[in-house]
Amino acid sequence: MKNFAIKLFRRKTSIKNIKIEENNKKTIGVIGASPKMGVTHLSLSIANFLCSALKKKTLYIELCDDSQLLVVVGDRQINFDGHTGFLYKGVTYVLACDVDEAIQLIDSWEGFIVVDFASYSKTNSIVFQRCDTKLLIGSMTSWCSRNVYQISNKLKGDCMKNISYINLKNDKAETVLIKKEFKWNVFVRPIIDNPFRLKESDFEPLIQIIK
Amino acid sequence: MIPDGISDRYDIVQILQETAATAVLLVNYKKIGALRILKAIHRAHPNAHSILSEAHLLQGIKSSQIPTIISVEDTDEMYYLVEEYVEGQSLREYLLDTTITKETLLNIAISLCNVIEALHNADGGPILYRDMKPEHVILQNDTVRLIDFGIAVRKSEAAKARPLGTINWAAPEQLKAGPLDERCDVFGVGKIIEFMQKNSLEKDDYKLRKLVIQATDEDINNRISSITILKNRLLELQDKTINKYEDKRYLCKKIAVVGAAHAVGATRIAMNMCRLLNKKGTDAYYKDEKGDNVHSLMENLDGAKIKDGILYHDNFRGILNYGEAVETQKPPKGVYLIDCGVDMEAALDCDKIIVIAGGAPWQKQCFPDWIGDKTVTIIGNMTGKLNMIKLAKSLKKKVYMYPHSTSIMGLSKEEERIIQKILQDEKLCY
Repeated sequence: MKNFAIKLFRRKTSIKNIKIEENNKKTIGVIGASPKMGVTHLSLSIANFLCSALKKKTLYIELCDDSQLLVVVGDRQINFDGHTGFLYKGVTYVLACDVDEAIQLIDSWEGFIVVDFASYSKTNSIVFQRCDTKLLIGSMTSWCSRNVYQISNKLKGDCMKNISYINLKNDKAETVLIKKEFKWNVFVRPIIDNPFRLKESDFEPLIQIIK
Repeated sequence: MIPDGISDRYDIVQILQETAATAVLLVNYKKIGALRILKAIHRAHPNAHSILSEAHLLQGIKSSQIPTIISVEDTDEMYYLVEEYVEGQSLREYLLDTTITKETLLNIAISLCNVIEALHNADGGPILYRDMKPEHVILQNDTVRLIDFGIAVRKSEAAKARPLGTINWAAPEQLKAGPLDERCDVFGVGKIIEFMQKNSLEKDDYKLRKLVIQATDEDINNRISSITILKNRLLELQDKTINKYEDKRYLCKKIAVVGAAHAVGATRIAMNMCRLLNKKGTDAYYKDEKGDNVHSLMENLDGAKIKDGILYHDNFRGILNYGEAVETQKPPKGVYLIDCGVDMEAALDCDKIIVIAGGAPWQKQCFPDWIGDKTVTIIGNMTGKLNMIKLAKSLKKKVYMYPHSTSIMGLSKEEERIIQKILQDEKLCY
């Protein structure tokens, strides 16, 4: 029993099959089925994980009209390829970005891109279509499930392919329901205290999501 | 000009320096029979007030390593300054017939830093000494004393001061009348360390040489920024000299592996050394100083695990250089194999250096001038025996030959044997 406890305490994070992309270029889009699902929190966690843990060149696109992140990441302004961005902890942030600029950036950026969709709409669906990994955060609780069905209707077509659904809690019934209804891969949303100060224990769930 | 009116109190023992309007004399104070230095200057001399200012400057300094001012007098014609005669041998005289050890060198350099630190922290604002040279450093048994404060100035008045100093010893900005601060004395102490190193048993010590280069950088902005930092760096070196054999398990804590050219296999050898040390029970960690090799391994190695910023894979342990957004990890204790790529400068911070030489005719290899140092080991990789013999002859140093291996991640028996031999021969680790 004692040995088991020691083993458990000393357990190392297994990082089997961590290889994300052969050509080091990938676009990850994150949308929420309902408001306040933690889209920005997860997007920031992914971007910082890619940059600080995996040492990948990472661009963060905040696809919205008004930036929420400027006060956090806006200390160091940089200009690159005709765009204005901000460099924070190694990640390049393009804030309050519109659809045209986002498309341009996806085409030109040589590295990983995380797109934070403040809200999914017809206008920005073209950007979501361009994402290699599409993440949808939602909840199948009775007061939120309607939103999941609504967004699934909006996503019908190209966007429906390769969606990874991030459930807010680890609920087997909800996982079965999502898989049956939408045929999406289901993951549980990782609990990350601070996306700007990741722990090694945060790596494993993030790898699973973005692979 | 020998001043009048002093014969009632002083006997002139020796005229040390004499001009038409100034004199520096070694005198005997008749009353108690003590030797003193008497400096005299004519009132009409443009620098007549320098004697008074020197006296003022020295008064505010709390250090037993500078001469004591005994009296300042003036007559109708002259100003006099009488100060303690500092007996002893100047550093230049001492080094004429003595080769010093690293320990002595560091003791002298640290003592010198202490005096300059006292000057820079003087009451009333920092004093810039500006005249550091071996003739002004006097050794009295175990004490180091500094003399001749004739051109010392307060930092606040340095902008108005005349560009004085000794060529080859004074900082370039001092001779060019540029803006002066404490860094001009850092330059001076750096020059003294350089002078001592040339006359020491540690001529090739690259750590000292690196320190000298940083202290005597012509560009003031690249120079060590304060005398306290220089002193701390010297103290670190002194600690290392004293504690060299204290840690019995890890004789060397940091071993740099650096390539004499690109693609000579420095990374592979560093990783294999790390594997072998761990296999033999010594905690060893590979660290990539210049790139993200460990992160690439993390992606590409199946079965690798991470914990506390270390990547574990069989006997390999690599330090992950996480970025700013990952919690910082406490570095583990053990031997570090630092992969410096081809950056020889980066290797200078380590206890031992292993230089990997290649042998391809198209490779332009560069060997630093400290290659002869006893802390440097050379390994020839991916080349023939003849090339290595030639290299050993040209460098006048033993060259180990690394065996050819077909295994990418493994460690062949022959590799194990040669690495073990190198580690034992060169006393890198137990």
